[in-house]
Amino acid sequence: MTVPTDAGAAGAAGPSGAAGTADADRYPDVGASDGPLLVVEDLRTAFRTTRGTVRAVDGVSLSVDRGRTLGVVGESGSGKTVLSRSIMGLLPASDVVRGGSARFDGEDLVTATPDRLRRIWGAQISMIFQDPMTALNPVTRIGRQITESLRLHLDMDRSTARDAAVELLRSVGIPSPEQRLRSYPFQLSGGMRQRVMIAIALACAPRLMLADEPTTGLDVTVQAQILDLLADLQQERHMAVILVTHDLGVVAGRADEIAVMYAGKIVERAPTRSLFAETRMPYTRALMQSIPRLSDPPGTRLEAIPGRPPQLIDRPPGCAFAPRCPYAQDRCRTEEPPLRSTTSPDHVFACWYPLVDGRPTGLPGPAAAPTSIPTSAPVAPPVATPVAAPVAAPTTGETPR
Amino acid sequence: MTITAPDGDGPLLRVDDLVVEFTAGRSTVQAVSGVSLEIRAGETLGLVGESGCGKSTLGRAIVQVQPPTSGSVTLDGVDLTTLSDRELRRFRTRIQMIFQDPISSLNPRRRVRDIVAEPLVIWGRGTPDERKAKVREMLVAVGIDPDAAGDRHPQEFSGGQCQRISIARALMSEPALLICDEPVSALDVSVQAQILNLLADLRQTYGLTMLFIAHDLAVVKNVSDRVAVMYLGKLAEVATSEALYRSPAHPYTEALLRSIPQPGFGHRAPGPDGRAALAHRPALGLPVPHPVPVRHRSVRRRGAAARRGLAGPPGGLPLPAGGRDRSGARPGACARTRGVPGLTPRPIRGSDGVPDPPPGPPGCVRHPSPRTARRQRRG
Repeated sequence: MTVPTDAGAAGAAGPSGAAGTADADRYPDVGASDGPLLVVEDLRTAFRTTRGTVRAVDGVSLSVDRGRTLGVVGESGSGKTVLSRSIMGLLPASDVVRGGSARFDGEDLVTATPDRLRRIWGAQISMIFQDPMTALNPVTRIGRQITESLRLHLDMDRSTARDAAVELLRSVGIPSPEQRLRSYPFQLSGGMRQRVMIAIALACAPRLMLADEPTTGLDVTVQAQILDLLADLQQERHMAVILVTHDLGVVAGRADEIAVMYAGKIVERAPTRSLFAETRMPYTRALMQSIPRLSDPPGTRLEAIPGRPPQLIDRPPGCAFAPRCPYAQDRCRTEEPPLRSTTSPDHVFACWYPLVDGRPTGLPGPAAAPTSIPTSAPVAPPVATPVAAPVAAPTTGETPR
Repeated sequence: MTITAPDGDGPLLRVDDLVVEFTAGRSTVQAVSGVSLEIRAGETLGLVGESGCGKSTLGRAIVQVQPPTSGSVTLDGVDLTTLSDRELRRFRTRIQMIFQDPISSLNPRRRVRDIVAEPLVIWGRGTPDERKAKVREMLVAVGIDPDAAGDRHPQEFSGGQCQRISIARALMSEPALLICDEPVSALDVSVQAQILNLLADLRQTYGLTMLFIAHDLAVVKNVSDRVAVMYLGKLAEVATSEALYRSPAHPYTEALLRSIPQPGFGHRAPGPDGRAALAHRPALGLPVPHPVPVRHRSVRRRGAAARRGLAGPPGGLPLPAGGRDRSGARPGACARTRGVPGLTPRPIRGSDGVPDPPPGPPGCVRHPSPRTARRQRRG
């Protein structure tokens, strides 16, 4: 694999006071100190709208180590896309309230100047966007879109950048890359476009990659190929990845750690194995159970989560999941549970009555037996009220198309 | 309310040797090449395959939105391909479709109650009051509050709610057949579960017959009685959902099954390096061929395509009549698979000492003959 290396540019683009040589800067496993690459603490992003302040990310803390994968899972509107955009600093210039910190290799991205961010984007942190058709420039050839960042960040000349682009396209599994450089995005299939997006994101060998729903809208077979490709490239390049998705199945085999988001907060965070084996948060369990399983007989009723995620304006007191939770008690509706851990410090959750073996614990009163889990009500489900009228500013970053 | 009286045990829909071709420049692309299938009244047939395999085109050809090149589509004894435009328009009220993108399939400038009432308005069915009552009934049936939602526009609703409205609209004309073209693939998993449950309920209430097109086998298995797997414009396998999952006869079905991510399923402990092991690595070893067979006008190139195994035998897959496929003898277009009478059974993969199975006929794209394979390696 030929990775574009250019010592001078890499040194210049690297954060000041980071690893010594340009090589170590580029490949953090070479002589770089261990420890987390990205530390997010109490990150807050709110959008001021005409209807009130939308707290899309509300005090999120997490960290990602070099070469590891963090999965971020949640429904539409849970704030997962705004979280990844807040880490990147890709937010509207006005009507945004930001708080907390996101330190990438010691440097706070929340307070970084736009000029500084431009040097980091692409070179140090890159992002794969959800929709490859709208993320790629429709009137520019693929080749130009890949070489753009190579020439800017790594100061390559035209022919070197072109060779590097061919190599990148080959590494993401695009056949006959020389010809593909001259293609426009519309000439490629959805899977191929997403590969091109990955190639662009990888171009300057970033140390952190944010993948925001990289496979939504793709076929299952293509999805598996893209995720495998990401995993291979990550291992090769010792890259940290944040994989944002709504599908727990996608992150199940691929993330080292999983954070489940609900209403702008992390409600459960655990190493992957622990999350599936000892699910504590009823919401996580409900998400898992809403996925149709191949082993279930046909016609098995899915355990859908009734209702919708709450609006992020004027959130009610207490646990945000309480209105949809089968085990909700009075305390859940009045007091907000903090993130805490019981058995293992790695496994944190925000629930007053965490599940143990699928049953809530510590319920008050003798009648601790849970009410039956409400399935999505049949022919007359919880009568849907329309979502609030769309507002000018992005509310959660995931407004319906 | 009954939608249609199932006449005996015969199939409601019968598709015979359906071919759909598109011309692209100087070559012809065969999106559907000789598909035959049947759907009985009250049955749900799942249709799975990758994008570009022709499954949506097949759905559209059944409704005659995309006129088929040859073959026949018979619904309730009427061959749709022989109808005049006028007759077809009249008859088409009996088939309704639900599309993938719920938001773009609703007119953004109309109110929900008008959108849902439109099928009846167009055909002048019922008085305005009757129509209003029917709209109410349908909206309630799909879980939308008619009082709160009726006067609103589609963009005020989430994707899942728009899909509910689309379903209500499709059911207004009491169709005999409902074609669902990827109805849940644009939705979140939690909303997907709600919509799948809704379809199951409506099926119970109204005795719906459905063709359910999707690319996710787990979803299809959940809703379908039988599943047809489509690959390169042909049916690769038709089986009951249970049988398909238990013992996929076609290697392509197996590959599809393996690509589905399942939480907790086969999730392995992190490897020695602390990294989570990849639990769901699909072994799609062969290069993906062109999504649909292309027939070039040039005789030489057509010959080459045939030799590469892209063209395949004409006619596609014979489907036994009268539900023989339920009994275990399943049609599978791959001759190297078991389940096809008179053809070599496939040894179980991974078992020791099993010799390489004999090569299949050149028509199978996943099992090229040794000669074809050599040529592919060289080329």
